[in-house]
Amino acid sequence: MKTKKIKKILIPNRGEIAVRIQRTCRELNIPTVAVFSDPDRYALHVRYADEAFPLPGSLPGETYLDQEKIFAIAKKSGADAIHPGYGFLSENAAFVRGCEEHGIRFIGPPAEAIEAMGLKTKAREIMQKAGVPVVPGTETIDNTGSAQKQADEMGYPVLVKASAGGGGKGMRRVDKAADLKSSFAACRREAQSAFGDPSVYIEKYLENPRHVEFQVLADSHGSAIHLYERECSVQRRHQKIIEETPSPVLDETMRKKMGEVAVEAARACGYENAGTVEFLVDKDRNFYFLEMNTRLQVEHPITEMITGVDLVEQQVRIAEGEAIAYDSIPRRGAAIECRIYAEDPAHNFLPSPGLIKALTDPGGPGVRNDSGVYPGYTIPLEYDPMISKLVTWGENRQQAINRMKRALEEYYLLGINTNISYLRQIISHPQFLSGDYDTHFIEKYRDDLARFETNDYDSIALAAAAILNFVRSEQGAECQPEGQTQKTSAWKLSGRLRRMGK
Amino acid sequence: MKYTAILNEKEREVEVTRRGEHMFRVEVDGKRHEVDARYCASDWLSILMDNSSYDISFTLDKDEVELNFRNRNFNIQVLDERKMRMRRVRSDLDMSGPEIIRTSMPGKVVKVSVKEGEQVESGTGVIIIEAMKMENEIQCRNSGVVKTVHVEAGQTVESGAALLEIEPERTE
Repeated sequence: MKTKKIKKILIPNRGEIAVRIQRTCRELNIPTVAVFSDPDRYALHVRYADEAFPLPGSLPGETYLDQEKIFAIAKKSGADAIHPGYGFLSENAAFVRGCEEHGIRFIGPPAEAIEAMGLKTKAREIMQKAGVPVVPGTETIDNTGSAQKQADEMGYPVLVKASAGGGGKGMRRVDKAADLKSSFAACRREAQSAFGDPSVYIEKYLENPRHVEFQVLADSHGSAIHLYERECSVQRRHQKIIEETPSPVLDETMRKKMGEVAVEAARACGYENAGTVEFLVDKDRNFYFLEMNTRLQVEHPITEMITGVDLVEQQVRIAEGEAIAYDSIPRRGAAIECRIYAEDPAHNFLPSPGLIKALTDPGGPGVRNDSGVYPGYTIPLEYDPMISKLVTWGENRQQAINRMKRALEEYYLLGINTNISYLRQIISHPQFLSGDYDTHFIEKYRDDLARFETNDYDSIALAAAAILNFVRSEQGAECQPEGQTQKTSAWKLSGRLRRMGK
Repeated sequence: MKYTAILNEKEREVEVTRRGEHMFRVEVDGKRHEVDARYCASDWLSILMDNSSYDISFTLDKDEVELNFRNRNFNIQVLDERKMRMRRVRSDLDMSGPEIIRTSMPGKVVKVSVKEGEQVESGTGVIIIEAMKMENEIQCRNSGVVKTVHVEAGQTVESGAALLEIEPERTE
């Protein structure tokens, strides 16, 4: 296959990930085309782009998900490739086919791989055939009697899951035989309304699993490699909030084994480009295939930190038809990512959109901040509350964590509430520090994590607030008729004199 | 100058005395501190409080001071003695008035569940506000009659906006 250089990339996405992709494109000297909904005219990805086109409207369906509008913009702007980012159209097989029809290269996997991995029962079948371990479970079940029988045989607790589900939706835990019938029916209803497909299947429920995923890269020449794991067990309401690599639970033998399985999984579904194979690891350190994410992940930067590989660049190269230049990639040190959300941890994590009055990003050794905001920006009501991903690298886990604590402390954000103090609580928690934690960590230590320092800095804040008022009232007094002119308008006066040429 | 500073609905006594061009003596609840305070930018204050260094991002709007440092946000109302007296008078008047229901989250009004003149029990969900794909139901604290509804579905509201007023029940 001949390589063909990409000339211009359209990014139908927003926020930090759009900026992240634009940055690599700029390094590769490939111009980028941004798109934006009505509320996003002021968004950073529009300011950073080389070109930007409006997507009139504010609902996702009429903006970032409107394929026809996006293809029209690609044509108008002369973009010959599309990088979808994550979310929105990134795992939409019909969109990938649409790109083909319009002669646009999709920087991501083939439509068939997306489809195969999108249906959980199909994905499980493919993986089982390839010898990849999956969580013990059934095929699609459509009648209650058979569901009851198979669940009873498996032993409780079990999970009833939507075949077309994902992201923690369409999933029910059943603890005893008597509850199965109602949960089975409810899950089918949910699956129908959420995914338009009532198919469900039953899976063994793993107690206290860890969530460990492997980054893979596959090219169009048949090569596939992995770039090690990411530990993603710190989750709140099925959403990851902190990820780290290496995973504290893996040893070299297990890492090697899982890496090989991940590469095998990618091959089994005919994968191309960057993808992620997710595993559950149980308390006896058995691992099972969970699902494959056929896109660039939110947490990809920690992999970049320990390998030095730019995954977006690799995605572009692979889409251009180049072969992966490595057999395997060395890794060095440890990296950790905290997702910064505009939400208020002191009030049940209520979203906190609004004007960012002041902002200072952290910096210094080993710090990377992939942000989608700037001071003076109003975080819109319409989208996810994630505003940036703070990533630190260290020679070892301890240094990466110490740097994260330090970097979080350097992060100043005024005007909105954020989860920064909450993230600091998590990474200071003894259980997190021990490395021995699972997906129930947040739930289990909820009370510890809610214990915010309250009084430490009150007197400093009160003193500062009073001084600010005091100085202002003094200045106010100076502005009274007498004694005003000299001090307050000396600058104005000199400016006026300069303009008059004196 | 003596101030009353209100932080987390608690009144605190703070006194500031100028000691030099950048030096202040500040007493917080009777405890004395020596403070060197400098403006590094129009929204940035560096203070050395008893030689401990704090870098503070701030905005100052009328009596409201908003501060951010060490990953903490502070909203402090600073009132001198005259303003404090005015506030006391005003809050005495407020006590007898209707309960004003406000939103602590900016967002879009999804649903107004009550009508003017309607009787509500304490804890009734009266309005649903949505932001960032999350819905938040606001409840009223007191039982009473809905006196005024200030918003309607579809409207966008700022944090702190008054949504509706409830006339409390008269208890004999």
